[in-house]
Amino acid sequence: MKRWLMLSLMALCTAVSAASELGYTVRDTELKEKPFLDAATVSTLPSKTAVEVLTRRGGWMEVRSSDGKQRGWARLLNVRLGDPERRPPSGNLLSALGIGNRPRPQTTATVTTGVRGFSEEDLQKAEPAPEELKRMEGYAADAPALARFAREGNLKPGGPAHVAAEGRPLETPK
Amino acid sequence: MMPLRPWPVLALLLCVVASGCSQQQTEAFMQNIGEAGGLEQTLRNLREPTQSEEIEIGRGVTETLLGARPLLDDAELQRYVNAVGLWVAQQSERPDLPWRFGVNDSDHINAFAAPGGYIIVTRGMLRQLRNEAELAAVLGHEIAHVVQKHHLKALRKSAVVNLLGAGVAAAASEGEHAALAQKLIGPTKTLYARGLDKADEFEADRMGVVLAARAGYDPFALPAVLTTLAAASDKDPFLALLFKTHPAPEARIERLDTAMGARFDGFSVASQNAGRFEQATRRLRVAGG
Repeated sequence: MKRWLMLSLMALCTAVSAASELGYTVRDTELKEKPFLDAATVSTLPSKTAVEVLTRRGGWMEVRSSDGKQRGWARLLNVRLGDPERRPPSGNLLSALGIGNRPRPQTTATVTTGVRGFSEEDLQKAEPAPEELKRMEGYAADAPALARFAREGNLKPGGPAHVAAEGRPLETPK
Repeated sequence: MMPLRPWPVLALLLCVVASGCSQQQTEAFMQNIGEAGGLEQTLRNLREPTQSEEIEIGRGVTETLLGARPLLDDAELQRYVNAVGLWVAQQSERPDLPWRFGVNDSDHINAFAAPGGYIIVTRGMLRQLRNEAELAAVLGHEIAHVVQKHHLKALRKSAVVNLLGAGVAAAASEGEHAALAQKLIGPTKTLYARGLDKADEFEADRMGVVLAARAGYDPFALPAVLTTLAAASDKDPFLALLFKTHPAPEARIERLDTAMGARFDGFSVASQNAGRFEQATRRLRVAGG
């Protein structure tokens, strides 16, 4: 009985948090039919429109306006998560359940005792661990394995120069 | 304050510049000149650590970071993170460093870079990420710190490291390395609890985006991770150290928004590799994993 109750509570939490990414637009935002720049624009949301984030894909978010009337893909940088009137969200039920739908340890006082931490206190207590360093040095990929990894992941090297704070391209990092 | 007598100082300065001094002579000189304040600072900055010295310093720093939490016992995941990290690092301006990546066994959400190419990401951070592009973005930010020697420069402000740096060989003996690691404990704890300058963090964000894009990953993955972090409570204990040592995620997103503009829009169709990421991190999603 107890176990059943816990399981259904967990299922509820997952359902709530999976649907819980709420946000708002930070500027006038075109909603696209698909997550591509050249996709058709279905509508435009004014700045500070509250939205529900349905899906994320790379630099895009599929959003629905809070009145449910408009739906489409917005550029990720045009949307911030949280409540436009109260930033940042603090200690409510949803954030206690976790960020988005990612599993994570609970943070109530009763469960934090078993936490494997890297807090400032843990850092201050640290003693050098040379055997751990040697372990870490043993996991590196060799060149053939790395080439295969990139090929299988369809990772094609190339791409942009570094950019300055205001967006100007830099040939070499300053 | 005593007036500075220029000639002995100049003689010693020349001696150091010519690298004709032994380490002992240099140290003695540093002690003698200790009162001279600004000059001491100038002298410290005369000689940058060589790459092999930088690597030895990074190894020492990493030993203390791994002393705070050991590596996660998951060889498949460790190799996966090394492959992603090394692939991104090879697109950087310092591809030839002995880049090493490790996932530590911590529920806290964070990632750390040490000089010479040593990078640690927490298990807790991996659990917040959605795909390989987001992992590449987090590692790209840390790789940028190494490329720009942000931590090395910060550590060099502590005299002890600077003097040590001058005497550490690439193939330091076990004993020499252990002595160096011991002397780095204090500076490491201070630096990684306090964090870098905010400007260094913003720079690492901009460069991390570019490095991930060069490696074939979606450049918007870093703003996506920061968007996730921005939605967390600022009082979340699992984010306390990250939030203390970095600018607020909202500020980082705003800066990236300005720097990226529409410049990266053409790259946003690049790889996410969510399936491969889910597979490699599957053990993190089971209870107690």
